This record gives sequence, structure tokens and C-alpha cells, in this order.
Amino acid sequence: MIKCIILTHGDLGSALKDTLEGIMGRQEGLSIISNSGLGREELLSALKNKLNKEQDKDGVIIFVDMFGTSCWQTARKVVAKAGGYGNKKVVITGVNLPMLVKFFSRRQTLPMEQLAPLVKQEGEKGIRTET
Amino acid sequence: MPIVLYRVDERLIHGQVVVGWGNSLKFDQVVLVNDQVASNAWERELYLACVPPEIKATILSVDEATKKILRNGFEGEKTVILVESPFDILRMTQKGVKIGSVNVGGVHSRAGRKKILPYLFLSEEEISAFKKMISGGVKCECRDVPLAEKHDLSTLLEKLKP
Repeated sequence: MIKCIILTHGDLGSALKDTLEGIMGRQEGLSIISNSGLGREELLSALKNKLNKEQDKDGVIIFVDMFGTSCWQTARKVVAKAGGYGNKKVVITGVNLPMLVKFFSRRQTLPMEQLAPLVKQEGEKGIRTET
Repeated sequence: MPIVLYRVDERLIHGQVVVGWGNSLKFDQVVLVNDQVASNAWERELYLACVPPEIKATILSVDEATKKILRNGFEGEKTVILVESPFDILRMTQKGVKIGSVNVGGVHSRAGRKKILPYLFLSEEEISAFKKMISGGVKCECRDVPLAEKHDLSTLLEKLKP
């Protein structure tokens, strides 16, 4: 089963987890990391520890709130030597509720190379303007 | 425009700098001064990717930055100089760079560091480096984001219990 790590600023990850589980019920293999109070090295160790614990042959998606931030840099470092979907670690930025709902609805049935693009697309579809 | 800010921030280029200080100072250029990042192509690329296209970004070693500052190489653009630790600023001042004030941003909790402010934890070595800067006439002002309250580091360090 593909796992999920939500890596964000402040309490955003924790609020996303609570809200998602309010909609879909408790989820296995869902963990959160906040960058609050952590320097570069400490945040990287926190993520590496979590990845070791969550190691899974099916892979893990690291959801990050914002591109270019310390959270993104840290996530990018752990997939640095990735070749395509080969090492089963994927980073998706701009985490929102629609993409998490799609992730937890489809992760049992789809392999990583299909799940990751679908989840990203769902996140993008969730952003609209009504005028 | 000269250098508008020297900042000590362990996270280097990140949201508080690009979004927070970017919106407030409207700087043209950020110069990340760090020997480790400067010597590693992959890390250079990683940090350069974090800067929006309207801001120019450069990565230099401490020695390269020192030379460029001493020949007034940043006069043309509103520049922010970003370092990870007080040691790098101290190296620059010891080689003759004149710095009026330094903004002290995030240096985070780690074993062996004392809490000074919620975003500022310093080891004995770091405290002593800051004290050297202060006694050399550099004003050290703690402020993580532009709208936060300013704290004078020298006052905070005096209050610190041994």
C-alpha cells in the first residue's frame, strides 16, 4: 500500500490530516511533519526517520504545501537520486484536500506511476474561480 | 542601491526570506553565502529553484562574497546577503567588510543550544561569535519576519544566565 507523508509549515499538515480523516475515516500509513522550530538538518533527519519507518515496497508520496520552501527543499533532497518512478518516492507540492481524497480513494488499486499524476491532476482540478 | 540586509538564517533561502522580506524590502537580488552550498552543484540548483524569476539569485562562497563586497560589487542592485551562521559574518568582518547591522532570523533548536527567542537558539560558540561582532560595532537585531517585534541581541545576551 502506497503511504503518505504530509510535510508542511506550521499546523497545516495536522489540520489536513484531521479534516481528511473527518471525511474518510482513519487512514493507515498517513503521517505528518511540521517544519516548526526545525533547522535544515533537523527537518531532513525528521523526514528520513519517517521514511525509514514508513518504508514500503509500493512507495510513498510526500505532499508539500509550497514549492521553493524549506519543506520542498527537504523533500526534494530525499528524492534527489530518483530516476522517474523507479525508487517509488514522489513529491507533490501545493497539497490540498481534493488531492488527498483522491490519493486515499485510489492508492489500493493503482501503482505509483499512475497514482501520482492522477493525484496531481485532481489537485489542479480542485482550483477554480467562480465569478 | 547597496546591500539592504545582512541576514543570519539557518534555512537560507526559504518562505520567510523570499515572501516576507521580499515583499517588505522589494530587493532585486539575493546572495546566498555558504561554502557548502557553493561547492555542490546539486545544492546550488536546489536553492536557485526557490527564488521567483523576478529576483536575481547568486550563490557564493564566503571568500568570493567577501571579495565582491570589498570591491563594491553589489552597488548596482538592492541586495540581500544571506548566511547560515554568525561565523560566516564574522569571517567577512575580519577580512575588512564593514557591516552596520545584521538581521538575525531563524537559528533553531538543537542539542547544546540555549533558547534566546522562539526562533533563536544559540550554542556557546555562536554566542561568542555574535559577541565578537557586537563588540566590533555590528548591531545585531533579531526579527524573523519584517512585521515582527525587533529585539536587540546584545540586550538579550546580557540577560542570559551563565
